Order: sequence, then structure tokens, then C-alpha cells
Amino acid sequence: MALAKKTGNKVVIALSLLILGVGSFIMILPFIWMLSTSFKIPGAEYSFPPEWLPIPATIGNYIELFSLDFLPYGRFFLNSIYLTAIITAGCLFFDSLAAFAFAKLRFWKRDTIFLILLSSMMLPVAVRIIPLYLMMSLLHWLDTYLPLILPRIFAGIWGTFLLRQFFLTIPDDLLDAAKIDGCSFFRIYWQIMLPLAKPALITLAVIASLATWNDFLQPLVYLTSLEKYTVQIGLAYLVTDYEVEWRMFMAGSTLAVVPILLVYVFLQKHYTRGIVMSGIKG
Amino acid sequence: MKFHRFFDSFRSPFLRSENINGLLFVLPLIFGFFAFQFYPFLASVFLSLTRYNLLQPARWVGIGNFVLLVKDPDFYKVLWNTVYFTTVSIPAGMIGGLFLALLVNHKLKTMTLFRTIYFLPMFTSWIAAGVVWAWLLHPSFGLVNYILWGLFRIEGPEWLVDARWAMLAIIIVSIWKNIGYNMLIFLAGLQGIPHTFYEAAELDGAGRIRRLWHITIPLLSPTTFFILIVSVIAAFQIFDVVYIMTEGGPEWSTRVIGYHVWNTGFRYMKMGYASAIAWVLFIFIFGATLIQWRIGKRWVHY
Repeated sequence: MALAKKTGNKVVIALSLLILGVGSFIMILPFIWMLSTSFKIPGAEYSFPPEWLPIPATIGNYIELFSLDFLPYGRFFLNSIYLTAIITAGCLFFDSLAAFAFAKLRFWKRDTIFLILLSSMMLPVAVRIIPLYLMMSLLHWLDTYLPLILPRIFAGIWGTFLLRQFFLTIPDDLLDAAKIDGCSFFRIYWQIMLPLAKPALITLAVIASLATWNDFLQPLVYLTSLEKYTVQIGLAYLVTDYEVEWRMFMAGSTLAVVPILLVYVFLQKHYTRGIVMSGIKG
Repeated sequence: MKFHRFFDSFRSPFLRSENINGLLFVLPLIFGFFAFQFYPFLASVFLSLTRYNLLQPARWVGIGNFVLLVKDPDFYKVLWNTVYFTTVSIPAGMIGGLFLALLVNHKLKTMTLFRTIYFLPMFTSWIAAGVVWAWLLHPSFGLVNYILWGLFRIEGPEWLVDARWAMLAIIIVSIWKNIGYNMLIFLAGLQGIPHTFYEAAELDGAGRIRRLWHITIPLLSPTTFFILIVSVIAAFQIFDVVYIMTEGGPEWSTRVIGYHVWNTGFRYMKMGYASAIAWVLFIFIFGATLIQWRIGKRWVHY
């Protein structure tokens, strides 16, 4: 009986591994094909039957991509990095400050305010984007980064939600002791709470930066001049507006994807924990 | 940083009160809520009752936009496309996600590797994913049709160029993109089920299938419910992947409501009409969520 169960388990595990293996091949196939095509020489991407490996390989597509005169592809990366850094930093500060207050301080209508803010998560972007566009146009903020930065920093309620969950787990005794010592509330936040919240802050940074990097609709709507484009709209522009070869598109996609994958595979634990804690869909 | 010194220097009891500090700390978010959430929300209601093309001043048309929408046969096509996308991609993605979660839920080193692989699409942008899949699904040079022919002798369809197949292509990409998320949440749900249930069932002689059917699936129902709610909200709003792969075509076969709002508002500059469409989208999401809560009470066991 015990033996039968053991072999049964082994069969199940072997079968699981087999199915997972086939499945993961399908999952990474697009990445492999993207990489392989991006290193192919002109014409090789249309060979039949398709060649799995780019032999002979070339980095010519990447060089050509960066030297396109109508598209400053390198610039897009700087723009995206700049935006991602500012938005992530802003989210970390304002979300953690508010999360600390919502979790630990007692103030007027605290829970009502929190619920009202939280309810805004239900509102689809499609409903807000047109009035926001008109508002930014009135403020003469179109084609600047302000419409991308400000709403993300000041209306990032899910980050507050995530951090609040974390702050709730910190015992109140710590706070009371600091209060008795005459610490200001900002100092309690800055010197006691933030260092304790480091894991949660990393989680938020990981999720917020990825969401910013991959954002498409907002930059598409607000940015008009090429030199302000982000990686995502730059890539979309290359693909939809120019008759360039597929190996160039693949080089462009590889650059947009692979650096992120390399970083996020290492940060995976923080990312998945944040997703499970908040339920946010990437 | 000695930032906090500044705040420490306040001696007045008013500035040191917990009430004032608390409100001060959440003030930026309250400001953001009114400026970037609540105001656009109200403005959108107003806009949906006007005709406005950015050039001439907005003209009040009452419910005129909604009347036009109801009479527009193309709009029903858009609604149908959205519902079709949602009702096919979500069940498939959820069943796939649950299946994967059950498979990787072993304490083995290899499983961590598999999990990572299934998470990769989550980190990829919809745009890059769409570009690469468009290449994979290329009718003559695409790898997918080549594999279909090589393995099964199936003549692959023309995918994105064929109005009968384009939506299926979008669905495939979105399942590929979302399955890791579903797996992750199901995995968290699975790990929350106490072992004692399985031990008791095993003593009673319940096999794998029965344990899955009578323990795992019922106890996972809150997780399933959660994924369902979140997925429906996201699916109704799908935009990026449609923009990059098909631009709503061919013959409007992939024009979903999220894309329709953008196209009407920002390509044709019909801001009022687009707002009305956005409101229909909102009502759909709201209605679907409400219905799911109602029905959920019957099948979700906490």
C-alpha cells in the first residue's frame, strides 16, 4: 500500500514535470524567437524552413536601430529610465507617508477617507483619460512629463494600500514609546517606520517601476514629440508607422524586454509577494 | 538626511497633534484623488452629454450621444467583441492557471525554475509581447504555422489578417500573458489550504481526483472568485495589445471597447461621444462585478 502510494507519487511528479516542460517551452518560445530573429542577417528571417539559430549571427540590426535618423531609439531609454526613477521615488515617499498615517495615526474620519480613496481603484482609465487630457491641455502640460508623473505619484492608492497592510503588522508599543520620548510624528515615520518597512518598500518599488516602464496608454495620449517618447511608444511607433524589417522590430523588442527580464527575475520574490498581498494585476 | 529635524523643531501643540499630522500626511493623496480621479469622473459625466471636438466649444446634446450609440450597429459589434474576448480568454486562462498551480505545487528545485518561466510574460510589456506574437503568427514566415504544419499537418490560418482568426490570436496572447498571474494567485490559495483536510480524506480512501474535486476546488473558491473579478475588470479594458497587433481590424473583428474609446476620442477627436462610450464601459464593468458578487454568494465558501 505504502509502496504503491510512493510509486504513484513518483509517476504523478514525473508526469507534472513533463507537462510543465512542454508548457514552459511554449511560454519561452516567443522570447527565443525574438532573440534569434534579432541577430539574423538580412533575408535570413524569411528563410524556409525557419532557422532556429541565427547563423551567421550579427549585431547589425541593433546598430541600425540606434542609427535610424527618424527615430532616436537610444533617447527613449533615457526617457523611460528618468520617468521610472522619478515616479518610483515619488510613489515610495507619498504612499508610505500616507500608509503610515492610515495605519498608525488616529485622525478625523481616517477610515472613511481611506475607503473613499480606495473606491477610486474601480474607475476605469478609459473614463478618466479624456477629461484628464483636456485638463492637461488647459494647463499647457501636454507633451511634458507632468501628466505622467503627477497622477501616478498623488493618486497611487494601491501602493498606499499595500504599505498600509504592512504597517498594520508593526506593534503599536514602538510608536507609543517614541511618542513619550517627544518624537515628532514625521520623525517616527522617517526614522522608525521606514527602516522597518524596507521589505515592503522594495516590493512597492519593484511593482511601481515595472508598471511605469510598461505603461502605454498614458504616454501615447500625452506625448507628441519624438524626443520625449518612452520605450513602449517608441517601439509601437517603429512598428506601426514604418515599413522596417521584422529583424529590426525584434531587435527593438529585445531591448525593451530583456533588460527588464534580467532584473525582474532576481526581484521576482518581491514582485510576487506584492502581487499576492495586493492582488494588483500587472 | 536630517529632514526630520525640521519637524522636530515645532513646539506648538497644534502642529504636534496627531490629528493634524495625520491629515497632513494623507493630504497629497486627497489632493490627487480630487484632481486626478474625482474631477475627471465628474467631468466625464458632463462631457458624455455634450458634443466636443476640441476646435469648437462643447455643445450640450443631453442624452444624444447615448441615443446615437444605441442606434449604432457598429457599437453592438464592439460590445460583442469585448464580451467574446472576455468570455473566452478568462475561463481558459483560469483553468490553465489552476492546472499549472496544481502541477508546480511541489517542493522541488525544478519547480522554482518552472515558476520563473511562467512568470516571464508578466514582466513583459503588452507592446513588446504583441510585436513578437505578430511575428510568430505571421501567415507565411511565422513559427506557429510552421510548427502546426510540421507536427500536425495542419494548414495554419492567416491569423491577424483574417477577420475570423484575429480575435483568437489576441486571446492566445492574453492567455500567454496572464496565465502566470493566475498561477501565482492560485498557488497562494493552494498553500492556504490546511494539510489536515487532505490527510483526513486520504484516511477515508479518497483518490487524487476526488480530493481535487471535493477539497481543493471548493476551498479555493474565494481565490477563484477574486481572480474572476480582477480578470473581468482587466479584460473589459484591454487596449495595448489590440493597438499594436491589429488596430481593431481586420473589418472591426478585434475592435474592443477600450480601443473604441481611444480611437473615437483621440483619432477622431469626438471627445463627447468617446466619453459616452467610456461610460458604457464603466457600466458594464460595474454591472459585471455586481452580478458576480450576487452569484458569488452561492458558490464561494469562506
